[in-house]
Amino acid sequence: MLLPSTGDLLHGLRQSLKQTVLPEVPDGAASRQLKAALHLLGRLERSWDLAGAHLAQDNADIEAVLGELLPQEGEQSLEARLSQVQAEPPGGFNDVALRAAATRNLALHAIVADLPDCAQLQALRQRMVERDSVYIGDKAPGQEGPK
Amino acid sequence: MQSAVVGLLAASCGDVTLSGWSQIFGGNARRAWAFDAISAEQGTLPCILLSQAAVTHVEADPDAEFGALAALNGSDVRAPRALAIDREGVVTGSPAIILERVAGEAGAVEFLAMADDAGRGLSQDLAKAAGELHRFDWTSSGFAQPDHGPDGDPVRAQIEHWHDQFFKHRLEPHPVLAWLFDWLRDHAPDPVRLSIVHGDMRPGNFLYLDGKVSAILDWEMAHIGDPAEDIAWIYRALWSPAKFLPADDFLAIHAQHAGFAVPRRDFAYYRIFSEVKFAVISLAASHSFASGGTPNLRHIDRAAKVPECLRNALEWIAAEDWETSNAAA
Repeated sequence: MLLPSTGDLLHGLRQSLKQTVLPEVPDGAASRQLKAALHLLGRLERSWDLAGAHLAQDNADIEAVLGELLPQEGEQSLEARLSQVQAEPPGGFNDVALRAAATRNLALHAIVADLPDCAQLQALRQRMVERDSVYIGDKAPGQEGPK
Repeated sequence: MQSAVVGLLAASCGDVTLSGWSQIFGGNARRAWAFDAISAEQGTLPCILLSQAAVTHVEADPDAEFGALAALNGSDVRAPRALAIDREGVVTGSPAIILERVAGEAGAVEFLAMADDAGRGLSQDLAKAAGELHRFDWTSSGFAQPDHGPDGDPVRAQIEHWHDQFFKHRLEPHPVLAWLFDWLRDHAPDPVRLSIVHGDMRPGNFLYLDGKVSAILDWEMAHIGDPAEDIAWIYRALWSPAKFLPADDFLAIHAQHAGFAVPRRDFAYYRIFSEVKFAVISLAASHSFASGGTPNLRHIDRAAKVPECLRNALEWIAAEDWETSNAAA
């Protein structure tokens, strides 16, 4: 372990910029840019370490549902469909395993988008949205949605 | 630059001289200049020049905006007078329009921070202003009927417009959002009336003065459609005046001034439509930054707004029996 953690660093960066730089920047375009950057730093602080668990859960859930909906073998099987999807590895990942999980996640999402609707997919979509909300820092796990 | 503006204004204002030329904040998608046009015939006319940014997150057609405003010129709809259009970008390098500059404040934050009585009064007047717009007879106004696609249905055309934008700007499949477009197609209500719909009516896009709406601004998303769309957009949680005026009260005031009532179910449908639309606008903003179209950091992380939109939409779909209520409506 190497402390301070990434979350601590993001927190310190945001606080320092907010307290020492923002007050010195006059109102205008530069100030608006800085406020937007501080807002994003806050979100990254809440979510920087969630990607691994998020992708693992999302992939496992989708694979389980698609495993029930698709035949186990042949051209329509999940693995056959995955091999047909041309998902480019997304940018911004340093960790090889995490990049692979993200690439598989994009391919799984593409397959979900192509399937005819059914009750299992309705329930899956609900869970996907809930997971995304946690991942991007909107809400804590288990938190109620807005009314 | 200013000589080009004088030339553009000749058709609507005659010979003018300009004074007080200054660049002002035009929002995230436009550049703006304020000035006065002075002529012997009309005296001093406050004007504003609005020019598109090179790349924006909302694809806007200046012709459509100018056409809508020109159609409304002289009506009781609270819209600024349309004076000139620069389609070729002679003045600023991008297409631009020149409008009458109306007095008032536009701040959404200031509006939403008003005392309850003041906020309620202004929200009531916004309902009245929206009703006046939706009552307007656009069929005999010269408003150019846009292409509504192969089936000629303006409601479906709006859904397909945003679906096209979704496909154009998404950086990943977004299966939930893709499904929501199917849902919108399957459940679209027949409008009580087809009206000019502003398309972005909300706090921040209207001017207010002395407790009244002095002008509705930013007509670049105006189109023919269901008036329920505007009301649902006004009541998006991010800028909703619901704390001043519940949506049902807004609908009642709107009905008085529009001459027809927007059904509650249609309002509920367009709340879902609004979440989808806002999600797509967010994806477009994010795409615009990612592709180098804008350096505006307000757009860099806009895709993070999408899950909240989808959560709201799924929750509101689940909260109502759309199959039976559609048949009963």
